[in-house]
Order: sequence, then C-alpha cells, then structure tokens
Amino acid sequence: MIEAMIAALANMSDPAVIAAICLGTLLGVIFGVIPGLGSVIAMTLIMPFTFGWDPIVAMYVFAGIIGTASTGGAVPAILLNTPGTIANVCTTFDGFPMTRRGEGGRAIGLAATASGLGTLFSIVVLAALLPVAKLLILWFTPPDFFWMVILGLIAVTFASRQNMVKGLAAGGVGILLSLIGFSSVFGVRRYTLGSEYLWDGIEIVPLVIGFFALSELMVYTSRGGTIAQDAKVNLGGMKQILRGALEVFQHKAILFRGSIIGTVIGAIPGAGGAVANFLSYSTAKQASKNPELFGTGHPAGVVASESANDAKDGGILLPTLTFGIPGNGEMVILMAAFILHGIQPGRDLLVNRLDIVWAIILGVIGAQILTTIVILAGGAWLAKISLVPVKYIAPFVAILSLIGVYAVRSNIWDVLLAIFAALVGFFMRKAGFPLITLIIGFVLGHLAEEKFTQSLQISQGDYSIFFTRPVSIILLIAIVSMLGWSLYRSANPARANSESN
Amino acid sequence: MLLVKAKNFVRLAAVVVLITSISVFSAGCGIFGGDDYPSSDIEWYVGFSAGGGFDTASRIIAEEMSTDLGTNVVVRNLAGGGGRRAAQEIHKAPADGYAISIMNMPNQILAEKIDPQGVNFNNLSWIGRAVIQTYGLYTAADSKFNTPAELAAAGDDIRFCLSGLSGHSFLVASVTTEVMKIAWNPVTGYKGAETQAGLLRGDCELALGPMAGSTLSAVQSPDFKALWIYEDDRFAPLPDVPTVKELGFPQLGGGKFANNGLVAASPGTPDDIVKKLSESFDRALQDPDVIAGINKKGMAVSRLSPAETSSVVDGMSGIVSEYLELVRAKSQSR
Repeated sequence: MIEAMIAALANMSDPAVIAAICLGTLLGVIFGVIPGLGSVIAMTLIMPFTFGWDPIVAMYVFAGIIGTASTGGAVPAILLNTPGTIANVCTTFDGFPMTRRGEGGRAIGLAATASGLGTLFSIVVLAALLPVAKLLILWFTPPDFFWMVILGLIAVTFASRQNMVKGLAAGGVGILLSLIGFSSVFGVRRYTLGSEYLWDGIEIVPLVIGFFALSELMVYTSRGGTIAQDAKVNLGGMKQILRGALEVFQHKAILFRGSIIGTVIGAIPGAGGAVANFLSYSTAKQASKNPELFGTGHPAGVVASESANDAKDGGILLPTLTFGIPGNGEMVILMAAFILHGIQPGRDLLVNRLDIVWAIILGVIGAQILTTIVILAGGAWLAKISLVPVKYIAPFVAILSLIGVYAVRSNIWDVLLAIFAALVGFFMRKAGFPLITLIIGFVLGHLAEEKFTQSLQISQGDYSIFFTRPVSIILLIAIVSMLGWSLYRSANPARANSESN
Repeated sequence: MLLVKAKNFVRLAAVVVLITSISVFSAGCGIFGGDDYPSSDIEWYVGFSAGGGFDTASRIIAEEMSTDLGTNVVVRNLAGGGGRRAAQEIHKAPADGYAISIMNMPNQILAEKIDPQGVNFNNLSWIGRAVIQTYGLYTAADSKFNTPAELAAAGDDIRFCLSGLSGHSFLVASVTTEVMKIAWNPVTGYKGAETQAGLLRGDCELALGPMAGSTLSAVQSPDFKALWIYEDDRFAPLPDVPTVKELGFPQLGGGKFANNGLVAASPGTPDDIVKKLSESFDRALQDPDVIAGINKKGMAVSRLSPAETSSVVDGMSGIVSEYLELVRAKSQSR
C-alpha cells in the first residue's frame, strides 16, 4: 500500500498527469458551475475520448471531475441562489443572503476553503480505511441503512422549524413523489397514469433544476434590479475573498462535524451529497447558540454545507473502490470508465491495481487544491455577477439549465417537467413552503421503502431485525435523542440556549 | 379536329415525361430498391445509459459498421423503462433501415409480457446477435450448499438476492426452484456488486447472474463459488462448474436463460436492406479489434444470422409465455 502511494506521488510530476488533473479540474468546475450539468455529464462526455489513453492518466481526469464539480456548484448557489449541483442546495440558504448584502466574495472564500478542507479530510479517511473498508461495508446492513435514512428524514423537521407543518407537508409530498414509477420491489407500476415517461419514476435533475434554479429565476425576474440589493455596494475584492477563506477556521467544530457527516453519508450507497449537505446544515443549526441566524447569511451555514458536500467525495469512493458498489451516478460512470480501460472494479482493484486507486485518491486531492486556488483567485471577479441586472442573467441561466436537464436522458419530457416544477416551486416559495424538505423527502423516500422491505425479506417477516444489531441501536438512540432535544428546545428555548452556552 | 389531336398528344407526352421523371428520381432516392442504401446516417438506439455493457458494445460495432457501410452509424441513448423506450422507438420507426436497436433479451420480452406496451418483438426485422452472457447460480464460498439436492432438502426457505420481482433473474429463480423443488424467498434490491456484499453478509444464500465482468471475477475469487451454469456444455472460464444438464435438469439448459444482445430494425424493413445491415453487422463482429473491445467489457461475441436470431426470439417468447403465470404467481405471493 505504502509503496503504491509513493510510486503514485512520484508519478504526479509527469506532464501527462499534470495535464490530466488540469483537464479534470476545468471540466469539473465548468460543469459544476452550470446548473443541471454536473459531474455525471462531464464524465460521460469525456469518457469516449479517453479510450486508448493510459488508464492512470484517464483516472486522473475522472478524479479531477469528481473532486471539483460540487465546489464549482457553490458559485451559482452563492451568487444566483441557484445550486450548481444538488449537493449545493443548502449553500444557497446563507450564501445567497450574503451576496444580497454585498458579501458574495466573502461567501465564495468560505465555500472554496470549506470545500477544500472537507475533501482533504475525507480523502485522508478513505486512504486510512482502505485496508479495512471491506469489513466496514459488510458490517453495515439493510436495517442499519434504514435507520440512517430515517435519521435523514427526521432532520427534515429541523430544517422546517420556522413552519413545521409546511415543512413536513412538503417532505411528505417529496416522499410520495419518490414512489412514482415501476417498483422492482413489488413488481408493479405506481401512480404512472399509464405514462411510459413515469415508468422509471421522476428524475431528480429536472426536479431540482425546476424547483431551485428556474423558480428562483422567476422570483428575481419578477423583482427586477440586480442580485445584490445595493448596486453601489463595495464587493471588497480579494480582501473579502481572503477574509472568507480565513474565517472558516473560526468555525472549526462545524467544519470538522460537516466533514465527518459528509464522509459517513457519502459511504452509504444512494444517500449522496444532497443528504450530506442537508444533515450537516441541520445539525450545525441545531447545535448553534444562535440558530435563528441560519438562513440570514450566516457564514457557519456556508461552512456546514460546503464541508459536507465535498467530504462525501472520499466517502463515496470507499464502497466503489473496495467492492465495486457505486454509491451515486458519478461512481456508476467511474466504474464504466474502469471497464473501458480494462480494469475490473471490486476486489481485483485493491489486490492488483493499487496504482489506479492511488491515482484516483491523489487526483481528487490535486484537483481540489487547484480548484480552491482558482476559485479564490477568481472569486472577486465572479462576485461581480451579482451586480449584473437580472434581465441579462436570467435568460442565460435558464437556457443553460434546460440544456443541462435535456442532456441527462435526451428526453424532452424532462425539460417540460423542469418547467412544471419551476411553476410549482415559484408558488410554493410565495406560500412559504420550504423546497429543501420536498427534495430530501424525494431522495430518501424510496430508499427508506427499499431498505425496510429488504430488511423484512432478509428476516422473513421478523421485525426484530430492526432492533437487534448494535449499529441499528446506536442510530435509534441518535434519532430519539434528536427528537427529544428538538422537543425540549421548542418547549424551553431560553433554557436550552443557556445550557448550550 | 387537328387542334384536339394536338392537345391530346401534348397531354400524353406530358404524362409520359412525368412518369419517366418520377421513375428516375425515385430510383435515385432508392424508393424502388436498396441500391443506394444507405444514403444518410443510420441511428442505433440503445435503451440504456451511456457507459454500460450493451452501450459500449454498440459503439464499438457501430464504428466498424460506419466504415464498412460508408455512412455514419450513430449511437443514440434512449434510456428509460429498462430498455422499453428504445424498443418502442424502433417498433414505430419507418421501415427504411435508418434506425436499428440493440435489445437485452429475454429481459425485455419478460417486461413486455408482464406490462404490455404494444411492442411485438416477433415482428421486428432481426439483424443478428451481438453478444451473449452465460447465466449461472453462485453463493458464498463458505456456504453449506453445493448441490440441488442439498438445497431442496434445506427445510427453511432459501433466500435469493435479486434485483426485483420482474426481471430476468427472478424468472430464472422462479423456474429453477420450481423444477428443482426448492422452497425459496426473494430478497430484492440487489444489483451488481451489492449482490456479492449481500451474500457475504448473509442477507441471502444464493444469487443468479450473467457470468461476465465483475460477477465472473467474483465467482473466480476465493470468496464465492458457482454451483451450476445454465448450459449443456461446460463454460470455459469456469471449467469445474457443472451444467444443469449434468445435474439432471436438461430442461433448464441449452442456453435458454442466457443474456442476449440482439439487434433489430423496425418491422417491415425490406429484405435487401436487412441483408445489407446484417452482412455489415456480421463483418464487424468478425473484426479482431471489435471482438477484443467487447471481450474487455466482459461479454462474448456470438454471431447469429437474421433467421437464427428470429428463431431465438421465438424460442424466448415461448419460454417466457410458458413460465409467465409461474412468475406472476411467485411475485404476487411475496
């Protein structure tokens, strides 16, 4: 293992490897910045071109894309209230309010640095756990997974504390939407209305783009003006960027907790960056002495969100590299790339191809460092976007977003779904319904059903399977504690805050 | 009178010129034959996302056919419905040979039988078979089960890790357990390497799948063992694994449960166009680079003529119809 790492480090001085990392970084940032595109499309597009390349060099390109797309996605999340990827949704909650008061550069500095540190943390954890990863993957069973998903759904209640009824209602709608489609568990169609389009269920990218990107465009188009409320505000240039970058270290606990959450959630196949992002934000808000500041442009909110969504990169590589189990769309494409280059994913990778494993690990690190530097250096210039009148930005972002939606499956109905979601999202915003709880319900709903059913099939109908494993018990205690603390806090807010202090 | 005759002559001449022009123009467009086919790009529909096995095999073959036919054969991913979207597109495409599609059989036949959408696979103009993947049953290396008799005598229900209650593996599991008299339960939601993790964790006792790619690698490793192959002859990569025929169950053999990548044009495509396509397709499948590229994806090239392919489809339709009620009964009893 160590020898392979040293050999890979030495390899990084090869001009071809440096060029590959730069290419991966460039693609990751561009596809991350443009809403709806993301790393999956970037990897899919570049894959055929890598046919015939040295497999190691090709892996550096893919690692670069994986490591940087969600960092790039923070930029539109902060400046335009439009998450570049689904993993950047919570960054909009505090990043955009900071832009509105002329602190977009500071938010970008916070995001870029938190992302970089989150990724580095998770990659170090990945490298340390590789020798025992197989045992960890096997240790986590479907009932444990079920409770982890329930934990994520419980966190919906914290995100909707301002209006719990509306938040839970939106979460419930999200869960119902997740059930649409052909159920391989039960072998029947559900709520497809006879439509072949809905046979696969609702695709998440059109939903997220519609709810978050397009509906937001409608909101500020109807308002007019510029994104930064005061067009004469001094954005502060590089000084503000660096202020944000250094400010991350004032939130060390949040940074550390977000990195752990991102790494752990990332390692759970299917959970993904959105859940990591959301859980980290929710727990940071719950644990804060001033939870009411979250959502108003609080730097801690940006740190919590961005550290987690990039820390998932290391976590998600764990089941993929050790077992060949892809945790999300990126990993599915990565595994396809392995096979294209004659590399067998799974057990064979860790036994015979450690050079590939280290290429990916070092590629993610290298690309993330490069991205952080590039975004910090360009942040002052990027922040000026907030001074451009929305009538110029809106059509441009709308077209790019819809192109991104179409690119997923080449299906025009996805575009129509995105537009419909935009209309619904616009009215939901006006009525005060939080969209994030709907998305979390959507992401986790079908996972909860799948793992619940799987667990009962394993136990052949015996419900005690949910209460007998140590991991399940720990998660159950965590869920009960979270609910208990939340109820206590609601009943005794002043006392709860003084106890926190 | 002379004027009337002149007018009639002019009318007659105009009609002759018109018919001649249409004939010449049509011949140039190839309407009356495939002499100029193909005169534009051919679209190759793949009903799965880019990067998968059938997608990559299609791209490799399409590139070779482009050179052979002198026109672009462009792969277009129409992912959705487990391949049904592409199947529906090819089913209603014009019968002019400018659209072909690869299909995963018998998976798609089973899906159509369970949830009919009007696609009749027997009506498609079959071009040939690109790839085949042998099906096998495997378990964890430390499993106490080694033979069908031991499984039948188990007493408790044997759990199978499967993707769902309507796919190819569920069909094979239903038929296998019926024929071998094995009491069983499905555990669903397992795909690819998750199946192997499930076996090692003890979520289930058995799994089914194509013996290719990462599954073949896993079965060849010390962690797993294959119990049998659904063929009549031994499988070269797993020479020590018995066939169902050797175990006394020939009705499960003959490759009838293998995964096939079959290529077709839309119903009613003229025979001469199908012939051109199938000859080009067959030449592509004999190219060493194409074979190597497909093998790299963990699949084996296995050529069939259009008539043989059509016969295979008929056979698969028959098998699926034969066991459809069994599959439905098993899925509803869960």
